[in-house]
Amino acid sequence: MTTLDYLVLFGTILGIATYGVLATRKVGGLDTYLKGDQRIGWGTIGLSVMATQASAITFLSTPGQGFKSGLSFVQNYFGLPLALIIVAGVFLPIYRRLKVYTAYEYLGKRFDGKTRLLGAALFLLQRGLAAGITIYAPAIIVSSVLNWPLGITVLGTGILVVIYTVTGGSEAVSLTQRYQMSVILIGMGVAFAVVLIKLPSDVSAEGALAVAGAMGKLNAVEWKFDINERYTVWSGIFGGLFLSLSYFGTDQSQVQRYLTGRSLRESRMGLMFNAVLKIPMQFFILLLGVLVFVFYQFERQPVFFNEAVWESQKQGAHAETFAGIESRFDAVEDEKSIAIKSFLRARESGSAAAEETAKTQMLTLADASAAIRVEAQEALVAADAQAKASDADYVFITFVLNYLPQGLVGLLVAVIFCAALSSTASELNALGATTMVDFYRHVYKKDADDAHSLKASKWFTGMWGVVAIGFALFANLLENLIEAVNILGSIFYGVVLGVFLVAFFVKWVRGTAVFWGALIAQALVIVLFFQLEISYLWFNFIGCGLTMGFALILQAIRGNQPVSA
Amino acid sequence: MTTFAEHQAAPNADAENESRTGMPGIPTWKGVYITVFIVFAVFVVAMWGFEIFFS
Repeated sequence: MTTLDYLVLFGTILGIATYGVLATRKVGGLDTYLKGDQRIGWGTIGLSVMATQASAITFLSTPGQGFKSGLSFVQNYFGLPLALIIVAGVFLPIYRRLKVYTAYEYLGKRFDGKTRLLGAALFLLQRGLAAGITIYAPAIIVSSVLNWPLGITVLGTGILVVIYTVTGGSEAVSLTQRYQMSVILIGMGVAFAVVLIKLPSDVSAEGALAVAGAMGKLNAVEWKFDINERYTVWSGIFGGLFLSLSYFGTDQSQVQRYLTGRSLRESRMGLMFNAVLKIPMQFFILLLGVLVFVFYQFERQPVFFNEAVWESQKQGAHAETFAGIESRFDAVEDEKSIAIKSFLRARESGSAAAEETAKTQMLTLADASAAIRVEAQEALVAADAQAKASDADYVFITFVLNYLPQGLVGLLVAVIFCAALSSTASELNALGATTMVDFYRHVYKKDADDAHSLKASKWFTGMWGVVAIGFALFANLLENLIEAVNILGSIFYGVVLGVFLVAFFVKWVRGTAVFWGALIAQALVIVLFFQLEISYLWFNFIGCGLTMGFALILQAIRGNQPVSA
Repeated sequence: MTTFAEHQAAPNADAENESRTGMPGIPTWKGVYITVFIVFAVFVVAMWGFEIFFS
């Protein structure tokens, strides 16, 4: 990166954070701190909800996923519009009507204290660890490719986000997210334009898409119903619906964003903004990855995109093996570039037979290239058992660093940090609010006034910031724990959603039935997770269904007990 | 702290006034939701068409 890139990078992230601190320096009270005094408009809410969901890894991994697997991941979001309609129509009016600070406070009002604590505890467990990963995951990639010290990168990101989240609370989070998301959208748009411009002059955008289509990269919609297939229309709509409903309806990091709305209408509009724009946004980020794939069909691409790891092995004990793999890969890539050009010429000639022949040759070479990549990954793991075989997260950043002009590299790295800061800020804000409202003021200090609660909220937000930074600093020692955290998220969400759906829609079920129903369902989901080999999205559906089913059965057995208010 | 029943019974001008107000040109929220759903369906069909056209 050049001086100009560093100026753009630090100017952007520090400028937005400073603005967030200054614009919200006069926090009036608890309502302002936790709900931004409910005066935020729909545009900011929409961008804030979008920024909360889109972490840095979204902008590093999603183009990489497009590069490797095409557009199929977009189906993961097919349940999202329907979920947001349900949240806007059912969940949101109740939260606003009850004037709650957290989603779990609602469970306390609807059921009882223990169900509220269960919901809040599951949230703190998942998000507390996830906040550390939100900082760590981009830091490890950026520090690797830019040769920055990992610890400094983690500390810099973490301390910056803690400062403006602790001082300005929810309003600072929403305001900074508006500008961070704008930077992200502009940056990704610029990257999209650059990759199109960088294609060879004799390859049009239409030709590039034809190559991607022929290589099976434009596989956006899979209608086949196969429970073992990770991304299909059906797993996206049903599993994605339950995942999105749980995330947007019951996860405090999202609930807190739309509760800042100046009216019900503004909050709803913010959610509908996401219902309409999220799928096209993901589609274009994946398509960007697909176009980077096409770009690399005509440019020399590394056999393994995490070049720091690859180069270290090339200097190591198995240098000859790695050099051999690389030279065979380069030879096949050269042949493939020629075959692709032949395919495009055959396509333009209008001869179906010539096009089919050229396509077959192109695909044969693509298979050969893919086989060498697999061989390279296996060689890496054989040489170093700790090495990660996947390099998808490094594809986009490698392209950015090598092919974007000065200044724009800084902008794209700023995109990654803006995404990391925005999602971490929402998480810390929500963790602080939940700890204060659902534990501290609910269990420990019930008579706390607003001034005391405001001070406590700041302390809890800061405390979670320290936990997240600490986890991120030591995450490299705990690779398996990172995987476990991701698994935890996928197996808990359905159960939490089940509790909320019973609360909203089954009025005769009481707290004790849903509490024990949720615990039994959670235990069963964990067992099923280890027994069934199905797409993780389905566990949201299963957990939700089991929780609702057990709650209904237990309530039917208990009969119509009096409510303990 | 008030109970859930008391909250439910309380007047709710916020929801009552605004639940009937959608977006400019679409006067009800039901209409907004149906429009959003139609937009989603159009996206899916468009992406499918995009895939078929370039396959």
